[in-house]
Amino acid sequence: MSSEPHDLDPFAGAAPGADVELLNVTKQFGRHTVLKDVSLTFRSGVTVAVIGPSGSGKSTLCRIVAGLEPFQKGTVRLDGHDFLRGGLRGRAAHGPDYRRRRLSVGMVFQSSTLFPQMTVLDNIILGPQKVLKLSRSTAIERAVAILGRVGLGEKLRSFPAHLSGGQQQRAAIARELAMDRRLILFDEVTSALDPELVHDVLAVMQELAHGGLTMLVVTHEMTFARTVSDEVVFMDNGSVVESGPPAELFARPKMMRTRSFLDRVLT
Amino acid sequence: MRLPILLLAVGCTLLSGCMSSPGGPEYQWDPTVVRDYLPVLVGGLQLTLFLTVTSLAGGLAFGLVVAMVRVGKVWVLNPIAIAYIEFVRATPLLIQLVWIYYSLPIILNIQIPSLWAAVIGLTLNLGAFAAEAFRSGLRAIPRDQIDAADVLGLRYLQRMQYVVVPQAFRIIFPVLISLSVTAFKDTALVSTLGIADLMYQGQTVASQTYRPLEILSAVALIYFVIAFPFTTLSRRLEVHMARHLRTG
Repeated sequence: MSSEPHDLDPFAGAAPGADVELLNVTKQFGRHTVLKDVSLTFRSGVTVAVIGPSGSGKSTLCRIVAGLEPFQKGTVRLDGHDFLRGGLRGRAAHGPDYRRRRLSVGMVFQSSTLFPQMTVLDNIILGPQKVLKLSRSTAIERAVAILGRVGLGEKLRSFPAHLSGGQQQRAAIARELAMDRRLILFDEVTSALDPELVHDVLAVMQELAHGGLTMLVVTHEMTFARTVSDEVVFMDNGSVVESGPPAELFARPKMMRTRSFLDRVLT
Repeated sequence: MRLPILLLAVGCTLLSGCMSSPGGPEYQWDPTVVRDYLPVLVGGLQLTLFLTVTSLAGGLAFGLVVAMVRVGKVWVLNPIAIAYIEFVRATPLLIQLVWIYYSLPIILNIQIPSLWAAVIGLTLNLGAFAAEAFRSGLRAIPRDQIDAADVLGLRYLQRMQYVVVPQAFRIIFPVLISLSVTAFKDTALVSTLGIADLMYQGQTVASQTYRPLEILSAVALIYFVIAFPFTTLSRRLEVHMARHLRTG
């Protein structure tokens, strides 16, 4: 996506190599602390895999960056500007800047979130038409191209219920791509799929990673984390325990907790 | 599917049985009065249908708005919506109609025709039940669907329009049809406000002709013939949706 020239870039004019930064993010549900002082910084164009046992706060992290979840402390910054701030509402600022930054962040969920009463094509063009205000014909043109890229060129007129789980997730990815996102969050997008469908979805994600899309991928797929991502973050119990390039983290984990987790999932 | 037709057949047989052999010495079954007064009844039916259509249009639209207030927990309006729904659901429609007819002129100091009092009363009544139906439908939409629409950049009303309401509507469609049938039959209560609907004309003709059994049976049959296809449709849709409509 980012390699193609287009006039919809929500951050046209922003400094190249801009960052995604989470600074000391703390989130509590009642008395329970889900995220403790989480900090995470990465460059544009990289794929970050977040791994860790269930309940470690990975999904909450995704939802926070997507702007779906208020949090108590910390800041999320995009391209050097405050995007979300800990506090009552979680927004850094109201107005066009907040909205623009919010629109630059996409998310694919674990469950299928295609709208079941619309065809695949209508799902893809809804945002471009109603939010980005593209003309219907332009939106369709782009949607057809994107659906071809994720291997769903034949399924334009199908309803989500008639797609396999893997096809539904690829269509959900296409819906985010059609919105020209700066960053796409993937929250365990293959966890609910039958094993034989996982591969096609991961292949699409791998292609996007190589294409230079910025991705934050919460996953249980260790092979994906090891071979596709540029950086792996291991979380446990609401904290970032360790992070680094996959070759290092998988081969020589520094922390005891990382080692015992990897021992458990890699055997 | 077979059972109602069977019941209908049994009912007709009973009726015709009564006709051929009079049950008591005083009451002679006379179906000709129905034929003679049918135009009067049909005139009443037109008004009944008018009341049904207007209160359905108004009640469903109003109910949807109230449901959105409830689901969105809109400040100040939410407790008012709750009070309205519970009050309407827990009091007889007959009293609601009478109350609106007699009290609105006192409160607002305007004289409204009884027909409009009836339309307002029926609309408010259906609105409360429809609001609860819509609310259950709105709450049935998975959280992730709404979050995905949010991430997509759709604003609240757009999320409602494109994502939530179409799905909720499918879920509660059978309920809406049976509510509509109830609303249709409930219009009979406006006859107490002196509105010449089907029920009112039936009662009038019955007392004029001293033939309440024939006339009121015919009136019931007219209600039945109109309502029955819809109750059947509702039942079939429920079966169809259970089989074919998978969400999520």
